[in-house]
This record gives sequence, structure tokens and C-alpha cells, in this order.
Amino acid sequence: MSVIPLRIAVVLLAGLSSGALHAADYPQKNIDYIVPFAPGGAVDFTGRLIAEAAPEVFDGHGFVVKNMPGGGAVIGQTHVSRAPADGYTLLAMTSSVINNALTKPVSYDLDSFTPLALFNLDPGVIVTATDGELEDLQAFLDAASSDSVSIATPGDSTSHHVTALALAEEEGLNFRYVHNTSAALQLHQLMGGHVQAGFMSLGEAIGPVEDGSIRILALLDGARNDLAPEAPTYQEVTGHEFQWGTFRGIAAPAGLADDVKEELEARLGELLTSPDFVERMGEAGYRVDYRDGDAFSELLEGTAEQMLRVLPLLETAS
Amino acid sequence: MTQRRLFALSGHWLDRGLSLVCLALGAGVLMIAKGYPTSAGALPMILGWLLMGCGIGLWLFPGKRADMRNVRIGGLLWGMAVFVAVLWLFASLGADVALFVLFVGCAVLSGYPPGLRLVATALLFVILVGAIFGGLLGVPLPGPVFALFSA
Amino acid sequence: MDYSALLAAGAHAFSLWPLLSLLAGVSLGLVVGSIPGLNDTITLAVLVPITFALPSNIAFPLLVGVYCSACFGGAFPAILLKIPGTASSVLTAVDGHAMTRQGRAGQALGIATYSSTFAGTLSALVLIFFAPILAQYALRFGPAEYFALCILGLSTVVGMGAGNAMKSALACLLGLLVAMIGMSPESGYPRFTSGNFWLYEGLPLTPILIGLFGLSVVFEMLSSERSNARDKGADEVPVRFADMLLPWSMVRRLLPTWLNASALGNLVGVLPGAGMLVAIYMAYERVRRKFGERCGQGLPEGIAAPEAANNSVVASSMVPLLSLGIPGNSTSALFLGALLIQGLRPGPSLFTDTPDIAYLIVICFLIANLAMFPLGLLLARIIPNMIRSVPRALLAAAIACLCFTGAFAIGNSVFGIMVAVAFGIIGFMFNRLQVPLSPFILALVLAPVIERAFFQSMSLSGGSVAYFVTQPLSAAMLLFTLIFMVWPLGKLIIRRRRQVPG
Repeated sequence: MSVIPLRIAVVLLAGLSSGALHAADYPQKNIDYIVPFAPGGAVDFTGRLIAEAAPEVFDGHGFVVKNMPGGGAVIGQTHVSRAPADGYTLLAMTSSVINNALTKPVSYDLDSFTPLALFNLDPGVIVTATDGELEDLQAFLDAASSDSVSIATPGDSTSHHVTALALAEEEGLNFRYVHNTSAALQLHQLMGGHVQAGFMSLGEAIGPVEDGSIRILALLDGARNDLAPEAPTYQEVTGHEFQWGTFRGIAAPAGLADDVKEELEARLGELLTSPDFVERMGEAGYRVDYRDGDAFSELLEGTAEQMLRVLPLLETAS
Repeated sequence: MTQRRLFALSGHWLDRGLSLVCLALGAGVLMIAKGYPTSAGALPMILGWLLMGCGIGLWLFPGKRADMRNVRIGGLLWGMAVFVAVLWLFASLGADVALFVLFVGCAVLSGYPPGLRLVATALLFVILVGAIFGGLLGVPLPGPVFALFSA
Repeated sequence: MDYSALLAAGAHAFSLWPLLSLLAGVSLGLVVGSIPGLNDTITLAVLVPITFALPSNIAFPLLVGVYCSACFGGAFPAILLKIPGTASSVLTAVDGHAMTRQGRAGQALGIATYSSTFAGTLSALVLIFFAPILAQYALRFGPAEYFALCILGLSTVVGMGAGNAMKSALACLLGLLVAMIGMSPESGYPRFTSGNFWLYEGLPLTPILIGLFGLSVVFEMLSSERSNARDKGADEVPVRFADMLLPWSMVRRLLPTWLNASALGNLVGVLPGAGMLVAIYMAYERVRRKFGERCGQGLPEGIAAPEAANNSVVASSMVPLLSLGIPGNSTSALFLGALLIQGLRPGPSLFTDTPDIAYLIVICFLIANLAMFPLGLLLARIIPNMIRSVPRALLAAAIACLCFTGAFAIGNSVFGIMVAVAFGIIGFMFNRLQVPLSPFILALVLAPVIERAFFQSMSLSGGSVAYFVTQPLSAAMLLFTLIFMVWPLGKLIIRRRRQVPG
């Protein structure tokens, strides 16, 4: 019996001594990378790609990917917002932090996190089946304003549902929402001809688009994307600006010491822009758009403003 | 047959108890679901009514095979106490300490003689679990000792 | 169909490294599947990033091996301890454990191995030759069809209670009720959560299963009389190889069940979302219809049907991914990731652009299922005797530890353990009160699909319930449901009428 407490004490002591941080001391141990979703999704997957590349940049210390699903990502996000700001707990940060902070009674908001790096931007797209009757974006808009169009979403009050609501409000369109639980089920309904159109991310649509089973009606971004160069932007066709997208980044709890923050930002920047990592992401269908912590903060603020504007739509819709 | 019917902890009296639980549950569901918006409340309302129906049905046609005899209530309560303690240990100290306590507690409660042999077995087993989960499968478990596996 | 590429891939699969990694995958899958709380999804999530470093002809055999054998691995604890290792072996536990209690554990494990291998191989062949056809058929399933299918699946629980129909209905209702916890699919309105975020996405399935089946057994052991607690498991006879090898007469007897169950597994399992459990329950229901009361008392068909069904679902769930590029469940979503990492894009072009890898993958499904046979028998020889040699008290302790660890690992939080403990008590009470667990599980899994499909259909049809009947496929399934529900009642009435004059 006496063996165990002794070992615990030794390990605890070791842990305590590393708690007193100097920048030069960081990193001293493995870093928890909290993915607030179940294994298998894009956030989990990209997180594991990062973890794979981490030891090289973090002096041999690894990223330990921990899935903490639940509450629409609230569980994992709460965990990180309350974790000690020592640089050893990081969050896979997505736009759901903003949605949750605005729509659910959670204990955190954007200020509870220190954005460190953005590595992937995924613009939204409007898609339809290749053999669907909606020829192009104009036909889609006409059909939706004169009659109504059935729309597959990946779930109620998800970012794509909000996109559709915002578009409907702006252009006076009628959508019948068919809520699913994943992009896979959206694709299933599109290809089977059960719905007329769908809102999703370019990254989720690109595979079937290249296979020729679905078509992109419009890209909700400022410029055409080299992943799908034929797809027109919404603005090109209609002249109205309408942009919406999702993003994936990394954040730490608020109150990170300046030296640790600098160290983390520098190392993450190195990791996320390394040719190896960019190539692997590219093979997996994700384009790396690296931005540092400040640029990421700006993007978050902008998205939060956009969300605040459309929030009332969501409440009246449900 | 008569003995079964007479004994309170077996046969149809247990089922009648279950039917009362059903009725209460159904009523509770109906009360709560009434406050929900239509699209969210529709299915719970249906379920509430069906549960009430099921409770009545069970009262009228109880089975005879339910059996709570030969249950050592003491063992059950002690087991629960150990589980709650282990839950707390899991959250505060770590998985390794908690699993050790759980192993020893369960073994002693089911009648294994406490002693050095048990402690050694428990230690071995807990380390094995930590090695399988943390080392082999890459599912990290918290705890001062287990931290050594994933490092 | 490119036969030369198929043959080349077949030959390649039998070269040293692909074969070794396939065998390693199958062994790992068996181990992972047999530990409650660990499953193929969590294992693949860990393995997929590791496969970067590997060439694709080693990576895919490994992943396919794990995927194929994990669900067979779940049968071991189900048969020996009545604790299903994965959700897919929930029904295997019913007749499997009954056989173990009769001292026929060896035969039960043998049947599980034969059934899994047979059905798995068959559906691998279906995957190789008929994947595109199956994929087109799967696309015809829209919201209305999903709704009807799940109702049909749910109707199989009617006769499932051992005698008391009222109790299976109750179990089913409680399952539906537990599934109501969390955000509603239509409006996201939180139900029965009392503001607790842990409940917003509903209770996690794996900890519930761990509690209902694993911890309830621990409670049972803790509360039973202590007098025999130190004995070794007395009711178990040593398992020998001879018990596991089935005589030809038994194979012939089980063959119709295997074919039935595989057909169901292939047709239903191909549907993304709800396929697995519905296929298993429908296969079991067919056996129950045929054998009536004997079902659940250690009937060989009661193991053969669910084991054959779940293994055929494994391969057929890959059909949408390989033919359409749509991952059917979270495990094949991880496969999608693995394919992408290797620079491959799943979908129709996979077989034309990179036939060598595409055919290697489907061939691996075939070989993995064949490899399960000897490895399964080997494990079936070792594990039961290992369990026998452990004193009951230590067995209880070990099961409790594994349950706690598994429930924690699924979400990296003690919330999983709390759920498992709560459902351990519920499972214990269910067992004591003779309420069957299987309707509860099915209802729990299907409820969200049914509710979502209903609201999707309403949205598409503009609120008309007639929509379900105007779609031919869903109308047919609803009609079958009605027949299934009315038939036992009708039979009862006819029997009573005959008895009255006689």
C-alpha cells in the first residue's frame, strides 16, 4: 500500500514544479487538445492531423486529442474556458463558440478565450442534385420567391441553417427546412432527390461535386475558390453581397501569460504553415489558411456581429 | 403459487408497484411536456398517455415472475457507496487511484478475503488497464500514475 | 467490373505485409470489441492519423480488419457474461448466455463464429459485386421511408418480452422516453434537461449500455449471497475445440437463418443512419416467429440470426461510402478520412481512378471475415477458460473497473460514469422485475430517427400525414407493420374461438 502514495507524491511534486512557468520552460509536458465533438467529424480529424505533427514543433511533447462531446459543443468549450490558463489546455475553436454564447445560457463568451491561430476557412455553398430541376442560382431564387424550395440543413440552429434563414430574410425567399444531423445525411437526401437544395460547407460538398453527383449553385464567398473554380459566387450572379462560412482554429483559456502566449502562437504558426502539414491537409481536402491570433480575433468579432444581426430570425423561426 | 402471491417481494405485487411507478412517471411527463412548444412536445405527450395506459394495463394483468427475494440489500447499498466514492476519486485524484479502490472494494464486497494478495492483484490489474487504454489504444486516462503511460 | 484489377488486388492482399497488418487489425478488433465501452469508432479515430506514415496497402488492411472484427468481438462477453461488448451484440446475449448457463458455452461461441464468418463473407461478396446497385436502392430511402422502416423495426419488440407483452411495451416506452431527453430535432428546444448542458445532446448511448448490461451484472454479484462467492464459476464446463466445431447437421439447420439474416443485414444495413440495430432486431424477430417460446432459452438460431445480421451490416455499411462517397455511420466517416489522407476520393471514381486500392479494400473485407474464423475459435478456446479460472469476486471487480474506464473514455468525463451507474441500477431492477432490456435499447436508438423523419416528412409534404401512405415504399412497410402487429392478436382470437366449442 505504501508504494502508491509515494509515487503519487513524486509525480504530484513534479507536476507542481513545472506549474511555475517561464517562457523558456514552455512546453514542459503534453498539451491537451480538447475537441468538443465526437470522433469522426472534420474538427476531430483536423485536430488529429495537428496532433500528429505536434511533437516536432513542441520539443517532443505531444498534443493529446480529447473528445468531449455534448451540449452542442458546450461541454468541451466550458471545460477549456475553466481550465488553468497555463498553455496546456487548448480548444479546437469553431464558430459554435459564438452561437452557443449567444443562444444558450452558457458560462462563457468570446472573451473567455485567447484566440491563437486560425488554420482553415470553409466557405458556405448552396448545392443541388446534378439531375435536379433547379438549373442555376437564378432558377433557385425564382422558385424560392414564387413558390417554396425544400432545403436540407445539417440541423436546427446550425451555422448552415442560420445562413439559409439570413438569405431567406434578405431576399424574401420561402424555404421548407429539412433538418438532419450530419452533412452525410444531407448528401443522401440531395442525391436521392428527396430535397431540392441544401446548404453546406465547400469542404463537405467538394467530393460529390467532383464525382458529378451534386452541383454547386453558388459559393457564399468573396471570390471563386480554386477547389471548385467553375462555381460562381453569389455576388457574381445576383450583384448582392452575401458571404457566409465556417472556420477552424485554436484557442486557449483567457488570461494566458504573455510569454506563454507568444511562445504558443509562434510554435503553432510554425506547425500550421509547415509544408508537411499543409500537404496532408490538402490531401484530406482542407485548404490551410493560416492567420495569427490577432487576425483570428478580428474574424471572430466579425462573425459575432453577423450572428447578432440574424439571431432574431432564429427565434421567430422556431 | 399461493406463497408467491402472498409474498410482498415477489410475483404480482412487485408488478403492481411497477405499474404505480409507471402511472406516476406518465403523469409527470404529461405535466412537464405541457409547457413545451408543439413540435417539441407532441411526442412526449403521446408517450405520457401511453405510459399511463401501460401502468393501468400492468395493474390489471400483472406477471408473476418478478422476484426481489434473495437480494442482499446490504451488499447493494455498500456497492452504491463504493461507486459514489470512486466517482469522486475519479474526478479529484485520477483514474488510477479510483480504479484501485473500485477493484478492492468490489472484490471485498463480493467476499474475496482482504489481504496482500488482493492488493497485488488490484495493482496489477489497474496498471494493465492503464497500459491498454493509454499505451496501446491511445485513449488517455487521467491520473498521476497513468500519466506515465501516455507520455 | 474490372476482373483483372480484382484478381491483382486479391493476389496483392496475400503478400506478406498487407496480410500481416490485416491479421493484426482483426486481432485488435476482436480485443477492442470484447471490452465493453471500447468500440471500433474510438479505435479507428486513434488509428486513422497513424496511418499517414503507412503506405495504403498496409493502412487499409489494418483499418478494415478492426472494423470487421470489432462487432464479432462483442459476442464473446455477451455469450459468456451476458454483457454485450458492443451495441450490435445486445440480442446475442439473450440466447448466448442462456446456452452458457446450460454448459454449452463452447457451442454458443462456435455458432457465433460460424455465423459471423458466413454472413461477413457473403456480404463482402455482395460489396464486391453489387455495391453500385445497393447504393442506388439506398438512395430511394427518403424521410418517409426512414420513418416507416423504423416503425417496422420497432414493431418487432411486440413479442419480445418473455411472456408478458405489457412489460415489453413498457420497456419500449421507457426507451422512447429516455431518448426524449435533450434538444428536440425540429426546433432545438431542450426537453427534460432542467437546464443541464450535459443532457442537451441526450444521454450518451455507450454509457447506457455499459450500465444496463455491465454494471447491472456487478450489482447482481454484489447483492447475491456470499456463500458461493469464493467458488470458481461452478456452472461452466471447460470449453474444448470439439464443442466449437459445429457438426454438419447443425450447419444445415442454421443455413436458412444465416441466409435470412444476411439478406436483411445487406438490405437494411446499407441505409445510412439506422441500419445496424434494425437489421439485427428484424433478423431475430424472424427467428422468434418461427420458434416461439423456445427463443431466449438457449436456441442456436437465437445466436445465429443477430450475429449473421450484424456482420453483414459491417460490410454493407461501406456501400454508400465506396459507391456514393457518403459515410453511412461514424465509423465509415473515419474511413472517409483515411481514404482522403491517402489521396483517394471515395465515390464512383474510386474504382476507375485507383482500382488497385479500391479493390484491395473490398478484398480485405473478404479476407478479414475469413480470418475471423480461426482467430475467433482460438479466442473462444482461451477466453472462457480464463474467465473460469478467475474467482467470481475478482471477476466482479474486474468487470466494474472495465465498465468505469469505458464509460469514462467515451467522453473523457465522469458524466459517462454517472450515466453508467444510474443505468446499472435501472438494469438491475429491469432484470429483477423481468422487464426485457432489448426493446428498451431499440426504442432508445430509433426514437430520434423516427421523430426527425416525421418532422422532415411534414416539412416536405406541407404538413400532410397522408404523405407516408402515398410513397409506395413507405406504404408497403407500414402495411407490413400493421400485419405484424395484428397477426399475433388474430391468432390468439382464432385459438380462443376454437377452444370454446371444443
